[in-house]
Amino acid sequence: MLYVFKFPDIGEGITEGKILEWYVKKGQTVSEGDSVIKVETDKVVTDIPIPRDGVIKNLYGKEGEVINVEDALVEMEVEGEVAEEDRPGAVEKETDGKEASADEVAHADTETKPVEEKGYGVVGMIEDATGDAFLPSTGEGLEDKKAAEDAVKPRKKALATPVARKMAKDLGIDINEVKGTGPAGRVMKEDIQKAFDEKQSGPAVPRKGKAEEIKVAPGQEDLIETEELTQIRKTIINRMVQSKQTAPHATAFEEVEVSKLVALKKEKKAELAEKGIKLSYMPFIIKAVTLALKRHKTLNSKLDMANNRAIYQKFYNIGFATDTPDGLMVPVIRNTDRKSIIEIAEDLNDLAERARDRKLTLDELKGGTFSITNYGSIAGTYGVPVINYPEVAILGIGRIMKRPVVDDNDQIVPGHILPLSMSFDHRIVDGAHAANFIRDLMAMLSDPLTMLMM
Amino acid sequence: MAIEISEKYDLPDLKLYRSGSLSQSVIVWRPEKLMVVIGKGSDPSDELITDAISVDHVPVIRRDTGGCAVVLSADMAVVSFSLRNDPNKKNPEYFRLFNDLIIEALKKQSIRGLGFNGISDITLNGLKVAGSAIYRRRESVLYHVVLNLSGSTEQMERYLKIPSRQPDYRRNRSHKDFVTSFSDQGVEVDLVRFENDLKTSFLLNIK
Repeated sequence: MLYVFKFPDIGEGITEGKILEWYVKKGQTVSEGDSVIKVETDKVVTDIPIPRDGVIKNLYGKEGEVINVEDALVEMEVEGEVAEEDRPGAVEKETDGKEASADEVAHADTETKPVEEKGYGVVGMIEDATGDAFLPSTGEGLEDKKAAEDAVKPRKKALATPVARKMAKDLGIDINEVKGTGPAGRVMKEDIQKAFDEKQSGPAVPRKGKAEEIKVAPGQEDLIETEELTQIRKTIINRMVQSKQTAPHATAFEEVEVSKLVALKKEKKAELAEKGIKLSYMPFIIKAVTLALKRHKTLNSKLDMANNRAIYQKFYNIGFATDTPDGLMVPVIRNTDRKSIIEIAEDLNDLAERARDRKLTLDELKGGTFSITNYGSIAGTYGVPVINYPEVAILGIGRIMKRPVVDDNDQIVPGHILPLSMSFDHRIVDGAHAANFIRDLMAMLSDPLTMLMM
Repeated sequence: MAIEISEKYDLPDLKLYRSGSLSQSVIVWRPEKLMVVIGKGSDPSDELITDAISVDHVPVIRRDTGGCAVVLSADMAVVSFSLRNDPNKKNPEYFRLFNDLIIEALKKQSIRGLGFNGISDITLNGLKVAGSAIYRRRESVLYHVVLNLSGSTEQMERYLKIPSRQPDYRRNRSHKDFVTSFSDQGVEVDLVRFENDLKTSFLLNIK
């Protein structure tokens, strides 16, 4: 189908712009988001991205010409349907492309519109050995025989209703792992809900034999008090055991002089308090960690042992350990690379408060790529934090202490020392990875303005 | 009279232009000498008084960003920002964001009478004291603003024609009647403090 892309209103209230440069030519294949043209308006030179995939058929306007908003810029061949107003008939200029008929447009609509599957059409599971199935050559290195078998088995693509698929996607459930209860094993939305509810109760750690019973010595019943474990405590237990049993922990310790950070936070704290924003050291640390993670991808990775691969994540979701009346929780601030320090501060305060009130959603407690635990806000200098598995590292923040330090002139002056303790999964994070990460982190915490150069 | 235009832009913000930096960055710099800088698509005969430029041997450099021609001198300061492009943000929003940071940093020095005018100007007591422009790419945004600390408006009058397109508030005023400097308004800007406040503000506010 033909699609005509028009010069959009780029939001300055202007009606025209000058074509400075074309980046594409006739016959070129382009993808959504590719810059096609450089245009200058009164104050801005801007690249204009194309909103669709396709092949360029015609370009309108020469370099140096002035074009008006809504003028046709590019005519292209695209796959699928085309909106009525974008059909070439809507363009007055003559084109050498083939005009689509109304019938063709209608046909394309029929082809691309999702069609609800009928229950009686289901005939079982579809074998799908391609897709994202990853087939290791051997099972070597896999955690156990079952995992090895699972990894080499072709992925089964479940049959399901579109509603169930969407629900699974929204809830983060792998629909291919869900047992369907519909006709011929079709996955229904009730099945997704059940899988989600089961997932919510936390990952189960396989027990090796019966748990040891702690007996109370006769006559000491009055000297003890028992309390049934809460669900959150059971989850903490499972997660801690899983982490320590799976990831070989190593921990690095450092001290960084943060007088500039202390002064900056002090200066800004009062100013932001007037706007209702509580500023602590954590937003600065989270931002610095994010910038360091962008430079050191290993620290923002996951190990997928079932497929013998490392997964490097290009998004930055930072969890922060929070003490609540019910126990430890780790809410996650998402996309910290796309948030300002002030926005991180706002998220932090909001999540911490709702964690204490037990008002967090499940979504706000998962999806982290790296965690920070700030035990220094209570007390403590160093610690050996437990990695929030399957993440591969966690940073422990100790209490900032006033200490004598030697300055650049060899003079002893008062300084502020922030102790850092970082545990990392030594299977994937080498000592050098950790040291380089911490070096960059220290540079930013020592002089926060260097974050502007990272 | 014909003038020679250098296409080799080599001012201190070159690195930001060329790198298409995805990270946040801000630099504050002072031009070393008198020069005229014209926009990417500018026609010198439309914007410059070439005879005077030629007689005075003022170098003319073409930049990669848009906007009208400007006179730069050691009596001015330039601020250049780069950051990741947010495709959902419109250009006026970026101008507002950046100019507000500049104004906020200046206000910390108890400078009163600052305002945002036109598409991208900063005014002091109603007169233009800084002009800005944006270069927007798919991945990054580069913004720069020229602050007239104590630059001569007579030089602007001598080298620059009145632009054909003007913000409403200019009302066809000459450079001399439209532009001012901080110095002419009795204000001295502590540039070191300004840079520090600006960077701090940038650090806290920019994504």
